[in-house]
Amino acid sequence: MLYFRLCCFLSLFTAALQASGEMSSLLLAYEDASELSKITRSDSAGFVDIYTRADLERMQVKTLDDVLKLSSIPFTSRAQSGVVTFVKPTKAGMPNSAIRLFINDKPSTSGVYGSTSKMYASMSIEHIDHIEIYKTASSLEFGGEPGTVIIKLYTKLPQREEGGKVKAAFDTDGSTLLDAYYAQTLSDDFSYLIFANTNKMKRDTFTNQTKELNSDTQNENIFASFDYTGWKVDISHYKKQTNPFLGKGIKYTPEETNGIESKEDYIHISKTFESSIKLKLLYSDLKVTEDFVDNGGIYAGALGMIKSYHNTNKNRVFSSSLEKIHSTKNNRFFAGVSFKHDTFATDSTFDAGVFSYDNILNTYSVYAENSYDFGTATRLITSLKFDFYRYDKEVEDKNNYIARVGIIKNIDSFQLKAFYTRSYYLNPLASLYSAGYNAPFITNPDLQNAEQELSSIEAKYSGEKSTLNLRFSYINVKDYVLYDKTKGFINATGKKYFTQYELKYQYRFNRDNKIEAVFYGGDNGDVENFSPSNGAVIKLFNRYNKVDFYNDLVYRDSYSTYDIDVRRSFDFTSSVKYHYSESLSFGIRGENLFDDAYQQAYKNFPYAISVYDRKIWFTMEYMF
Amino acid sequence: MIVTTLLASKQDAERKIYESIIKTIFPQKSAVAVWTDSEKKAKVLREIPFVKLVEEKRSADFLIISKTDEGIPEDKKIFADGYLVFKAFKKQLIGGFYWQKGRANLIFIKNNLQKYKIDLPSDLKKYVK
Repeated sequence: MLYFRLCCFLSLFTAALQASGEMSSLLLAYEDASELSKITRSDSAGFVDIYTRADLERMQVKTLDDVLKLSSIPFTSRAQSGVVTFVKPTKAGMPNSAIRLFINDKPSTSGVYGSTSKMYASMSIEHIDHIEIYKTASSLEFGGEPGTVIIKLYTKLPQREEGGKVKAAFDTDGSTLLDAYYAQTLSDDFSYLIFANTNKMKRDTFTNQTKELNSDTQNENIFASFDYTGWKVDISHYKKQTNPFLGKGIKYTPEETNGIESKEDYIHISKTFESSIKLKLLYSDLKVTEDFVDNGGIYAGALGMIKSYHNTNKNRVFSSSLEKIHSTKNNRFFAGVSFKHDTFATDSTFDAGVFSYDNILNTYSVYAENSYDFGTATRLITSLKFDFYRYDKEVEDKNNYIARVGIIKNIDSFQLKAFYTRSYYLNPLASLYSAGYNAPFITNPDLQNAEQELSSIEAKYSGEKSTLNLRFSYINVKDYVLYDKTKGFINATGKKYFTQYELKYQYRFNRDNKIEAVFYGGDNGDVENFSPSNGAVIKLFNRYNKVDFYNDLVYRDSYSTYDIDVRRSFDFTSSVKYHYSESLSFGIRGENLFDDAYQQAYKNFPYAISVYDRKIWFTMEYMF
Repeated sequence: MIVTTLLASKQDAERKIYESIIKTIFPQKSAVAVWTDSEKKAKVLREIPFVKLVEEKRSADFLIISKTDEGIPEDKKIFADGYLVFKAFKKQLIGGFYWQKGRANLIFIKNNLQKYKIDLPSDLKKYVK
């Protein structure tokens, strides 16, 4: 804590120092005003948190989960299989389908799992310019299936790079990371960005009944983005492997296996024509292989307890959409149609049992949104989307809709936003269909999509150097989905409700020095809590001459679940980056320095396990 | 509402940058005739009181170029608005204002400053290459 107080003092000290030279100040002001997030952000989509390019560089983040760790609601934790989970205060993990991730216009989509967002949580983000996180949003504005948290990643623009970068890093646990990108405009009509990454993340290991609990990961990513006369083509290959960690067994005694390996290859094409019609095409090939062995027994639906679990899901997606914007002085009308064709194939080997089956899902969507400005101070937004799901085998057809109405009102330095959304959670195929095998889960082809009503309000004050946001949301869910070991997936009767709030404050001393603080909490109305009910995140950004300083503290309250009392946590990160020249810089980043990070409790596991490791990263970056 | 305000901030900063550049290159002129091939740049330059936009390159004192396929008279003072243009016309340019490595760059080319006998004020000297 003494170190944290020293960092606070340094932040105030360096904040008093100003940049010198009028042209220097003008160039910095121009860079600031040209920040790409100012163009891409959509305030009418909901509450939004932005990580600018400057923020990401000064924080010395390596992967997306370095950023997601700082999210208030939802915050991140770790599932027993080692993958990232998203958690709202007091609740257990959010369904996959609630989290939507976009890389440029390309959505993370998977009919089998609901979303591939968790897979991309460990992706290196050196090629990413800025990140927008929308909360309590429907995804109508951005297309794709519904979600209540939208994470948007925008890649760097070749027109602003005209060169490349290499970054190499290693940590005190033996992790290594290598990133490289190059971006260039070759003519007035053609530009490109190419990115490649490989990393091995070493995690702390634990022991349970002589079995090692290991969650090391390996990632590789190749990404290319081309722009030719407005035709944008993104091509990606991303592969991630996570060791078993606690595994899938009920006694958490996993053998050493490959754990989970996820791979997605995709090509995404988009073009906005002069008539303001936008065309988007996507082809994606996703493969997820789960490989677990546990002699203590793994639950596998109708098969009961097994020891060897090997399951491969292949999901091919072809989707297309056409959208049109019509704008007048006071009105913006947006409408679109889309079609998605998902094919699934599953191959499973559970002990001696071998199962294979497949299915197809066709999704037809039509949507429209209208924004009307009453003068310059008030905007009224209305949205409507219809989704029609048609399965080839066994699963009954579903028709769902999303409706949204909202208002944004500006009064001098204040802004008020209020939204009401009626939406739903799409059930992944893994809960609906298993060709009668009912393994590894007992599926239910008649399962209905849970419906939610979401009311949210935000008051924002913007001063010359500060902003203050107060956010509140009330969510209730009908037909929510439960899993029963004898009945399988079922829709529960009754409703569940959830409230959440956030108070966010930012003060900017000058361009180089700022402080941000968020206090948040939530309540699920149940007697039992599965996670902390409140927390806080404080971030300090400072610069002195050629040195960037960054510090953050993530606090989460104590909680009790599964008969384990989990202590409150203080996760402190501190980093320093020295810019030796315009091209070369060196950085040190210490994570969980107090060794007091958030701990996750698991059912029937004797103690809670720290989600984040204490380590120090050393980084070198060279731009050319 | 919000987007209009943000664009105005960016334009304002850009206007001040070009105001400083043009005043430095033409310290004695009360009115400077400027030609540009970019409508976006023209919008910024129109706000500078001592700048007069012209349609013919030949009648301009100063050319701000954003496209590489322009036929540029060799006897004119020119400035690059974009990295591609900077690379293409480097031998003739007085300088350029463009994005590179994620940063806004301002460059003055030493040989051409000397050729045109342009004397930079102290806070611009560090941008000479």
